Amino acid sequence: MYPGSTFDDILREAHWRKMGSSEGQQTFCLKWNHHKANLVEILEALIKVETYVDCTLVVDDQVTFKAHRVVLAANSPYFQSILADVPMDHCSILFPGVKDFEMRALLEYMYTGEVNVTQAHIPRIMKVAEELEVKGLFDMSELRRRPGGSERTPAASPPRVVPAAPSSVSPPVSAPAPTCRWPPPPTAPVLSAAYESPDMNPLKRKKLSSMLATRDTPILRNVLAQTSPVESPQPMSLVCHPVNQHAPPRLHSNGSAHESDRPPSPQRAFEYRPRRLSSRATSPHYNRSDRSEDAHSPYTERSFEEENSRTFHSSPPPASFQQDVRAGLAPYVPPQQKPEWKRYKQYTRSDIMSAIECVRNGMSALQASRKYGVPSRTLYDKVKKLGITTSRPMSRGVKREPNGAAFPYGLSGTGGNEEGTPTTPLIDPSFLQQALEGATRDGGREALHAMALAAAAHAALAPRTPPRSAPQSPRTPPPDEDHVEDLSVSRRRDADPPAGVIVPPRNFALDCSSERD
Amino acid sequence: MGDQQFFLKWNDFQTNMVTSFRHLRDEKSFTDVTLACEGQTCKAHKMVLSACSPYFKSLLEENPSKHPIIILKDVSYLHLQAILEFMYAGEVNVSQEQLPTFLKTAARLKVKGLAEPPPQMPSIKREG
Repeated sequence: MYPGSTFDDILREAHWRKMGSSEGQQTFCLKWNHHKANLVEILEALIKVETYVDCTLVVDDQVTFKAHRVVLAANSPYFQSILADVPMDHCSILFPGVKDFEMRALLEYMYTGEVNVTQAHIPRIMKVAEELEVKGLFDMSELRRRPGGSERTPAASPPRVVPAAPSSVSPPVSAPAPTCRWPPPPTAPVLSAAYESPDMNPLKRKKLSSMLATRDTPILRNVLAQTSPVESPQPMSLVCHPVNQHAPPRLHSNGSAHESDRPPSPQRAFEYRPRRLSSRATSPHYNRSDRSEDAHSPYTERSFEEENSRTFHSSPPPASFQQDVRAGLAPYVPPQQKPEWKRYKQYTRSDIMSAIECVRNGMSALQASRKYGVPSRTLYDKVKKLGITTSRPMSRGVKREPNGAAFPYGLSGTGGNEEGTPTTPLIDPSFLQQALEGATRDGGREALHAMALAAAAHAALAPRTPPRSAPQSPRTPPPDEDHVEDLSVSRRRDADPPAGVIVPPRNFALDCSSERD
Repeated sequence: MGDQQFFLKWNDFQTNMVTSFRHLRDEKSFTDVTLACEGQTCKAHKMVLSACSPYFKSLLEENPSKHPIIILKDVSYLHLQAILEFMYAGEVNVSQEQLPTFLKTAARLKVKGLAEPPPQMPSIKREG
């Protein structure tokens, strides 16, 4: 599936990840980008032929499954504790009352990160998953109930995180596929570029490794949640990743949406850590800000993939969503909501046709994609191919935010209440200049946004000059939004892995979720 | 001639067995089965389980394994512990509010003396 790392990959990695550059002793980080994917695939292959299996799971009717304890333990703190207790060559685990289809589904899930099940089976499978604490599937209430629950959250992710951490630091060009494939929201790369400091990593690592022993699962849970309609799909976690790690929260708050519904200061202090460590805390937060922003903020633009994910489930967020977020817990798939187990192509051809039609008639790609449940990126691409001029969600965002809060990009000195009048043709020093002006004038977030954006823009453009300016938009001169959009596009291209997959395959989902913290 | 048999009887045999088993359980010595529910586990002896419950007996017979792990569904850990206590000691204290569900669980696990149909109803004494 993954051709493996090319020598080139390695070289690039090595080049970028030079560490300890003090004279003489230079160490290089040799990194195989597909290592995790490879590992996962091997496990999957091994289980298929039942090689190296070391435990037998017995369910009702004497149906037996062979499995690797290490996989069970990796996927479930419950198994981890049980199996740690029982060191044996080969152990049997009996599950009276569990049906074979349930166990089969869970095993497949544990080995591949996904499984197709019929809707009728879902409640039962989820129930078993809950009992077995299968990461990503068992109910959050479990965590809440336990006193240590809140601490467990951060703990959960670390193992996966450790390897991932460095990758986010690497420059965009060489960033490993999982991180980059993800079109990071403009802010994210920016921030990571602007704020990332090498010293962050050791810290992160330390934290993470210290948590290796602890149990939890939020990440996978999120992954699941993502595949389910309730919350953001896969990409989300990926998108979030850079932000979680590097973006101080203030940078992407417009001062409105999430600011207000988060408890102000106490959490503030900790914000950084929980968000980084706990996917549960981060991703929902992120989602939420997306949600709140997409109505009125330019960030809406930042990632088509995010958009994608959102459109997979058109259902509104559960009412409890905010509470969940506040609690730092990922929204659990409510049983009554029909979970969407498949990530790919949830729309029909007629959906996309209608969406295209709408765009042709002047609707923004984003709106249309939302309306018809078509991944916006797909729609966007198609529309682009057809040469249709889209009305940019960007301008929409600006329009809706007449108070200038939408100014973050520093594009318009007026605070952006005039539907994004083009003032800056391209991302260039003048852009930065404006950003700086914004900084002095607004002295606040907007300015930071702007600067971050500018930095991101540069980062995005650096590898490939000249910047493509609005290839998809015939409008001349292209409005600013276009530039922003283009930036994110080009950035995305940089980021796209060789495979060219948009929705990360399951392995990547795992990878990326792990990388988030 | 000389073939006289002597009847040796240890009067405290049963008491001793009970206390010994209990002791072994407390020490987790020679435990050879792990029972798990609600995310928690406890260890026990196959022999005791088999002796006290046809359910466990058949389960363990069907799955010969050195140290099986039995993951019980829909059993509260509290009840599981109480049931084990009952199996090992022959008596256990259960609060009144827990009693119905406890008995239900016991019935599901076919614990002798607690399950239906009871060979003889265990005497339920009120304490405290």
